[in-house]
This record gives sequence, structure tokens and C-alpha cells, in this order.
Amino acid sequence: MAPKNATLHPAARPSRWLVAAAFLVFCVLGLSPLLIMFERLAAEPEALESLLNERTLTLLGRTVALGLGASAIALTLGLPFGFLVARTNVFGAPALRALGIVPILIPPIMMAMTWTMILPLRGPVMCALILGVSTFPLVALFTGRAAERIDARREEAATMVGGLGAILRMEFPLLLIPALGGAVLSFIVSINEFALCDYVSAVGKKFNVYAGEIFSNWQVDGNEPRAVATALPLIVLTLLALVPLMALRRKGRYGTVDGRFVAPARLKLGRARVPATLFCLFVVTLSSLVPIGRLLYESGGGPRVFSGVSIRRAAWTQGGGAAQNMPGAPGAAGAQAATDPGAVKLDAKARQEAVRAANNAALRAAGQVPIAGADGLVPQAPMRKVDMNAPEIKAALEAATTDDQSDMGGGLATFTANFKKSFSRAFELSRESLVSSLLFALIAASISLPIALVLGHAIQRGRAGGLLEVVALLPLIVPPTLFGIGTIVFWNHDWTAQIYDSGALVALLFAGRFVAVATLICSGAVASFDPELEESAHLAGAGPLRRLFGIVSPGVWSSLVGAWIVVFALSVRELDAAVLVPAANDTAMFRVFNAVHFGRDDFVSALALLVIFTVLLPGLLWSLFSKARLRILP
Amino acid sequence: MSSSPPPPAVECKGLIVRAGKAEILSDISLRIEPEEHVLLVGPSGAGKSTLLRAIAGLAVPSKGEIHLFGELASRPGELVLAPDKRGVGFLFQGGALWPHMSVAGTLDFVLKRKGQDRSARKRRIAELLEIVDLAGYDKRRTPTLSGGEAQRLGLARALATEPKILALDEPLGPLDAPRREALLDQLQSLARRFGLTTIHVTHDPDEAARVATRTITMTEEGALV
Repeated sequence: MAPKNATLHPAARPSRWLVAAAFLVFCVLGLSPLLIMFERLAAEPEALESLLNERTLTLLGRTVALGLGASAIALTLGLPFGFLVARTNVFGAPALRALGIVPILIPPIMMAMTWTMILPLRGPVMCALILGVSTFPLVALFTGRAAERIDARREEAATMVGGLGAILRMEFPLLLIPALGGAVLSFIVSINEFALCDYVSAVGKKFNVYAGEIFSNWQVDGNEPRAVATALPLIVLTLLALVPLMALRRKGRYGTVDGRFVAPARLKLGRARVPATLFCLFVVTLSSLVPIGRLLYESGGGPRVFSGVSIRRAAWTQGGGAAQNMPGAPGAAGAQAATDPGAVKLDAKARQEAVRAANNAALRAAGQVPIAGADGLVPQAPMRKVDMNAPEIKAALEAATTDDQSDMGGGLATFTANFKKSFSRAFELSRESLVSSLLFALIAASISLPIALVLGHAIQRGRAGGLLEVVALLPLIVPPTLFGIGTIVFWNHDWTAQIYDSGALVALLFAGRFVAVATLICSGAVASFDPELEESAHLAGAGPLRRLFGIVSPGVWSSLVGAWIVVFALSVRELDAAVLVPAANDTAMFRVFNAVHFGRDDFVSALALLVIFTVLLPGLLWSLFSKARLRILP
Repeated sequence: MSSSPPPPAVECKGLIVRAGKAEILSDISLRIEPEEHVLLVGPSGAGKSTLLRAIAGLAVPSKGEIHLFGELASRPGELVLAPDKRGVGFLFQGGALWPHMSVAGTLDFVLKRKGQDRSARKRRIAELLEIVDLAGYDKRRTPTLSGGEAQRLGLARALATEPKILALDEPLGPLDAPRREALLDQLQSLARRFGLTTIHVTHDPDEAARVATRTITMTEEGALV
């Protein structure tokens, strides 16, 4: 959306004091972790030398290929899906549209947990597939919103020329730009993803990605400059992708709304309605129903291992391929191999070794035992005291040493009983973690929203809006692992020890990382808000605060709720940055990550479902109790 | 030997158009003869644009029929002839130009549907731009056109479909007085040159009275006076 502030009366511009105050908070939460890391790099520039080695370049190339693959899948699914559910008469379009958002809210590692059980694929192909399926809603959201913003008269003009075919031909170029924008975001998310690739590596052939390298470089000897240096190529890549995206956004290329906009009607697909509906159902099934259904099935005692895969994996694990240098090491493969009924060909010693490897790896994932060099892991990792009584460790150890993975013999009654049992167990063992996650996310979203509103408004109406927008994006362009390390370094001082040791650090981490997302949502909403309404309030004597909170906020309130919900959801599902922060070890997401590296059981599946439910909760409540539509995009 | 009179260009019989429960057009019956320039006037919300859209096939009647040159075009709940098969060229309010296209690209988009080869299309584009006084504008992007230029390109786009009926929805609305007069003259001469039947919707009865052969007035209730 093009900014409309060109003619805004100078006195009606945002209050400098208010913007300065919001920017200051933003600096502390979002920029300081980055600035301190770059300051460390500036003090030790020789760390940059490691950038050009062959390993780094290979990893970078592989990660870019992964990102391109994922964004291609996201584009292929998201463009037609977004258009069909937003603008055509496919059966159940509103429900399909709502379901189409779910995959981006499901933590990618949970997608990986389910899809690696269903498909025998592993390595980069599997990662790209999961990331593509996870991030296709970004493309669908952009496409759908752009399609809704094509003026009805323009569409009718195409109808007069050649019916539905002409409409599609006319609209495709208009939708391609926003769709590509969504694909670029998919690419950015994919190249920065760490936990998912780590997990897929853990249950298959070793597959490192660049985001993991940042963590490893930091972990080797706590070398912060090296971590920043390693992150630089990813930051440059993200910037290269993001800058044109933002430039197009400012030029209003994601929508074609002008003065007297007439909303278009849903297009009638005729004979194509049924196949189009089937396509949308296929996408929704692939991206959300299958993963959630699979977790439900496992929670009810269904087998956690696809035997055809597990035999191969067991053989691979037995061959000593378990060495990994990631924090979430390959223990899951060993645990599954050891407990998989399909792996009975392994001898007792191998099974015992597999269980041991699984347990050790998962403990390492929690940062709770020294990382042994013998199995190829990076040495000298930060060590912490082992807490063998941690509920997820107890539960997972119990599962990892249980031979019978399938409890489905008794049919539906057994399934229901198992289901209830696993949920009550997950809830009982992880209640505190779920409450922590909920609390951290609530605080993060509530801190982010007012800052985002003030900054978003300033981006559209202030003098240096373009510059502010770029600065506001910075927390998003650095890999989450680097942001996590930066947060640790920034807050790890005597005078901030109370914050560092408490859950407050987690809430601050989430707010700092995701305030940029909320700011973009608010900025988009303000861009589509008529500035004359603010000017008239100014002429009526309203000051900047009253204009912002009394005129602008009510006008964009559905976007504000949308921004709050997005930050909440992202915070609950955050793992890549949180995995590094000690206080975040108490989040439900971390418990799933921790437990899944011990092996799969109904506890892990039930806990994963509880996390997904928590992520979706505000959106569900909104759709149940409000008639208004949430607005994420203007 | 006596020949039967030509069928009316437009004939509406008991036309009713509803939007939800609201009746936008109520029991409209009218005849428009070929090459007439009919002015459709009435207050805002009278349903003038809806009637025009129904004739063009952009709105489906709830009751009644529409015949174009004797051929059944719409009947209750159904478009017998698709909008692009009716021989109606539509000039939308504000032009409704496609914002991602150039001037030439807009016309080329229409002409491609006719299966003409590239050189024929190029010639036809030049011809159309000449007709609407936009020669030399080929490469201009549509959002850079002024209100009058946009309307003229909208007119060229409508003519590119080689229509027999020209449907004009408040075509002069965004223009100042001199440009209104110029466009009106242009519309009149084009209608005569190509033998077009023109249905001209406006809320201002004086707007095009000098070029109209007949004025039809609609009431606020969506009926004809």
C-alpha cells in the first residue's frame, strides 16, 4: 500500500516523544541483542576469515538450495490455494481458508515429527517438503488478500472481454507479485530454520544446515564474534530477499485498491468447482489434517514408527551414523530403532547401544550433560547439572525402554482410553511448562502491541518512515539462533541477573524478536487508514495520543488483534532462539523438543498437540466469539 | 415485398433484479432500437447501473428476460449469453483499467482473444488509439493516465471488442466541463461511425441531453417512470 502521508498536515504527524519512547523500548528488546553481537565482531574482525572456507560455502549453498526448494513448494501450493479460497466458490471456502493458516502456526518440528513417520524421505528433500508445506500459508495469505483487493469493475471489464479465462489471465500478473512476496518470506524462514532440519537429521541421514553452524560455532568455545561472522551470509541473503519485498510493498504492488474500491464477488468456477475444491482439500489435508491427525493417532496408542523406514534407519544407526554436531542430536533414530518392532533384527548389544545413544543425545539436546567427543559431537559445550527428574526426560526414558510401541489392539475403546491417559499424563507432567509458555507469550504479545502500533503509525505518517521500517525489520533478518545468543550476551550481567535468571528474559526475547512482525502488521493497517480522519481529529483539537488511541486504533482494531494473536502464536511455537536461553527450558515447546530426542511415545504426541492447541487458542476463541474478521494484511 | 422490422437492440421484459432480499430493479420493461442513444437517468440508488449491468450480463435477473437483437440473452437465474458473447462494450465508471498493463497492453489483452496475429493486433491497436485521440500513448502505464485519458482508453477497450451496443456507466463523472464536452462529442461521432446503440447512465439529466435520442427516467424504487 502506498503511503498516503504526503499531504498530511505537519501538525497531524505522530508525536516525536511517543515515537522516541517506543523506539527506545524497541532498541532494548529488539536491537540491543544484535548490536552487542556486532560490537563483538567489530572487536575481533579476524573471525570473518572463517567465512570463506569450503565447509561454510558448501553449507551455505545447501541451505540456499533448501530455501529455494521450500519456497517453490510453498508457491506451487499457496498461489492457487490462496486465490481459490479467497475468491472463488469452492465448497467450504471460508473454512478451508481458515484451515489454510494452521500449518504456519504448527511448529515445524511437529510437522517433521509426523511427516518423517509417514514418508520414507529424509535429508534436504524432506526438509524442503516440510518447510514448503509449513510456509505455504504465507503465499496463500498474500495471494488471497491481493485477490480480494482487485476492484470488481476491473474484473468485470475482463469478464466483458472473455469470461473466467480472461479474468484469470488479467489477474495472474497482479497476484504473482504478492505470491512471490510470500514465497520470499518462505525462503527467509526456511534458510533460518534450525530445529526442523536438526530433527530430520536425527531420524535419518546426517544433514547440516547453515543456521546450525552458527550455533555450533558459538558452542565450540563460546566464540561470539565467530557466531556473528557465520551469521553474516544468512543476514545478507535475508536482506537481499527482503529489501525488494519491502520496496514493492511501499509502492503498493501487493494490492490494487484505489479511491472508490468496489469489492469483487466470488467467481463461479462452473465445472471446475469440484476439482478446485478437491485441490484445496488436498492441500489442507497435507498441511494440517495429516500432521494433527497423526499426532492424535499416536496419542491414542498408534504406532510411532513407520516400520519400512525404521528398519533402514536402524541399520544406518547401527552403522555408527549417529554422529551429529547439533544440540538436538540423533538420539531419536537410535531410540526408535531400539524400540521399533520392525528393528528386531538388531542384536541385543546394538539395541542397548542405540538406547544409550538416544538417551545421551537427548540429554545433550537439553544441554544437561557434557558432550562426548567419541561420537563426533562438538566438545566443550556449556555444561549444566543433569536433572534426571525432569518430567519429559522421565517420560521419554520410560518410552525409550518400552518394546511395545503399538497399543491399538483393543480397537476404539482402547484408543480412547489411551488417548485420555496420554493427555492427562502430558498435562500432568507439563502443566507448568504449558502455563509458562502461555504466560511468556501473553506478556510478549502485550508488550509488543503498543510499541508496534506507535512504530507502525510512525512508519506510515512520520518523516523518516522508510528508514524506521528498515530498522524495525532488523530483529527479523538475523537468524533466530544469533538473536538468542545476542539476548544471552546482552542480559548476562550482574546488574541484570534477576532478569537473566527468570522467565522475564524469555518474554523479552519473544517480544524483541516478534515486535517487528507486529509492527509490519500495524504499519500495513495504518497505511490503509484514511489520514484525513486524523487530520480532522487534529483540527478538532485532539493531541497525538488521542488521535492514535482514539481515532487510529479503533479504525484498525481488527489488525491490532491480529498482530497480538500472531505474536502470541509465534512466541508459543518459538524454539530456535529459545533453545539457547536457559530460562526457556521451561517452555512446553522446549519440552517437546527435548522429549522427542529420547524417542516417540504417546506423551510426546499428546504434549505436541497441547502446544498446537495453545498456539491456535486465541485464534479459535476469536473465531468463536467475534463476528469481525482478523486482519493480518491490510 | 414487405420486410419485417429489425428486432430491437435491447428488449427487457418484466425484469426484476434482487440483491439478497432487496429489489434493485422492479418490473422493468423497455425497448431500445438500434443506433439509439438512450440516456438512463434517475437519482442515486435507482438501479441505473444495475440495469446496465444486467443488459451487459454482469447481473443475473431474478425474474423477466433480456433480449439483444432478438436473441434471448438472460432469463431468471441464468445468463443464456455470456457477457463476452453479447456484443456489448462497457465503459466503466473511472475506466476500471488494469493497473499492471500499458496502454497498448490493455488493448492487446482484448485483441488476443480474437486470435489475430501480432502484426494485425499492432495495426488495430494503433487504429483504436487514433480513434480515441491517444496516439503515441502506447507505452504509457495505465495508472499514469489522467481521468480523461483513462476514460478514452476505457472507450478504446470497449470498442476493441467490436460491440453493437455501447454501455456507458457515468462516463463523464470524473471529468471537468471542457473534457466532458470533448468526450461526449467523441462518443457521439463514434456511435454514428460504427452504428452503435448507446445506453448512457448518468445521474445528471442535462449531462448528455444534446446527444441523446431519448431519455428514460428511473425512480428511487428501481422502476421506470
